[in-house]
Amino acid sequence: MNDGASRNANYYDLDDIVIEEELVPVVFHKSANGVKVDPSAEKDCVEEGAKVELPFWLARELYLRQAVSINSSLFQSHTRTRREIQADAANVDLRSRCSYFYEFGCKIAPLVGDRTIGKMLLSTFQMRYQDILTKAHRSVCNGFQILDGFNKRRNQLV
Amino acid sequence: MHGRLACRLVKEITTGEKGQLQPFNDELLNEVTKECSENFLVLQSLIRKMQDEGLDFQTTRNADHYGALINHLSLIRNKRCLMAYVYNRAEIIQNLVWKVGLRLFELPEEIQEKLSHSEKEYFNRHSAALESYMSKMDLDLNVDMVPPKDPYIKVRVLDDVGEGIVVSDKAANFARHSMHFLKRTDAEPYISRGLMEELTG
Amino acid sequence: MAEDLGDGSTAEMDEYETLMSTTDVELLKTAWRNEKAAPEILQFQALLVKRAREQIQLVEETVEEFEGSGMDPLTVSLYQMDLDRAQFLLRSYLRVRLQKVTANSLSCVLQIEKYMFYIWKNDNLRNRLSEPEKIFVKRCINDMEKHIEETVLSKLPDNYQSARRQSIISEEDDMVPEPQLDTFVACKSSKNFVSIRLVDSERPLEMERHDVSFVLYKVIEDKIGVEIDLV
Repeated sequence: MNDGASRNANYYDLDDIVIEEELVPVVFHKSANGVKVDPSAEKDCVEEGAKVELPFWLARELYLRQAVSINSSLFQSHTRTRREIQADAANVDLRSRCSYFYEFGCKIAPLVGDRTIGKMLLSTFQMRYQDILTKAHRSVCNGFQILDGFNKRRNQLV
Repeated sequence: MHGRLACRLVKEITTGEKGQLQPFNDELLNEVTKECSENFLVLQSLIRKMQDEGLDFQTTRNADHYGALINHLSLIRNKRCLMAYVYNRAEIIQNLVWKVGLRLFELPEEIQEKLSHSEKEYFNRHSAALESYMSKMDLDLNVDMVPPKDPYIKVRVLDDVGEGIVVSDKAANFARHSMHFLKRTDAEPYISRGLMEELTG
Repeated sequence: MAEDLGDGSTAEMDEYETLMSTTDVELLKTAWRNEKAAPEILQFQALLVKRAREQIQLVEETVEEFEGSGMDPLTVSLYQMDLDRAQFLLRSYLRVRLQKVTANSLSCVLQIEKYMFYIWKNDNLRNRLSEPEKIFVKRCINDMEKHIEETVLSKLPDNYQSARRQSIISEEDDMVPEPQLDTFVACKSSKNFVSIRLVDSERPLEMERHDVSFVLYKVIEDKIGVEIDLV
């Protein structure tokens, strides 16, 4: 999976930057002064135990330093998405849920310690890939573009 | 929230059509650099506070440490967004040098208006670098971008072209619907005037 | 296809194939194709480019001579056609090294232009460039750095002003974009028999001439232009 080592190779990658802006629910284990991350706090600080949504780029670094834990029970919408995917992966509108479904999945999976995320991403990808292939046969022109995007994602998954 | 403006700057490129420039957003860029300076001020004051309290910044893990850390992380995130904004626009500008022209005045006015002062200078320097490479190779590289076509094509006459027309020192009867094998350069003026059509396949 | 023919014919076919694939135009075409499909910059084909330029000049002179002497226009145009193709190929080869057009976007991803910082700090890659290309890259880097310095870095706080390191506490260059080498490429064997050691399998992949496979770039990297060509 794509993490650490290749992160800087993508330093200027616009998509990578936008993916890392995706919000992640966290619980603070430490307090921090002089920061504007908790909209409910009165001052520029965050208290220990505060539940806040942080952009991924910040959540990851704080998680790696044990300053926050990622609150996977707050992934309510994701649980719902998961059930729908299990029912029929090909017909879930992933874009409306998270425009970078696979890429963000790859980034978040190592942090939440939930091994089923990786499996779900892969099986979703496989099911949808088959579907796309069939559709691509019918309209060769669009197909190539879609496939190209898919190949990029496949590389990230395996 | 930290870094929100910076990401908005990046999204100006990703939401636009690929390869198309939006006007350079000086205002937003300056707001982001201002946020960077604020991050830095807070960072410095937190470190100073810890030093005043006689704490070792390397090992102490208190609220000031985490505050400084978050400000540092926000600053490098903001920097990444700023760099990516400028760098990816510069890539589009490199592309303009290849596709549109080596001289700034060759660019359509509406594109020129979207460039910042520094970007215009970058355009000039980059095309100078490319020109210097081409002159060393003694070969123009920004021409001949599509494969050469067959010099002969098959055409059908669509309208009465008129008799007595001489194409490449050969006279032929270009009656309506007749088909001919002509030099592309000879046929192209007639094709563009709609008097002939190219037969392919 | 060759299997349908007798043994003698197979040898003859091979000879013919070898002959065909070693004309300079074919070699240039192969070099161009390899360069276009490879995710990183390949060795500059200096000798090949030199020969191609000499041949182009020779044909140019011949065409002029023919035109002057009132030679049959069809013959002249055949020479001209050859000339156009050779010239296009040479330009494309030089161009694709500077500028790589990816299939999935309208805009160009520029090879040397894009990875200039990466190529420059890596001796092995830098040596794959021709002298004029080296000068070009050096200028590109200076121009880009000046532009970025002016627009962004000079406005950032001290300790955060480097174009290579995110901040003063970074222990290495952590801002340099790198090409994605961990990628799949389509390749074709140019020799009768080529054996490729794969990453995830005990058994090597065996390819006969013209066999096409889809493999990881890094497992065939050393064989490109020798036993394997990219398609």
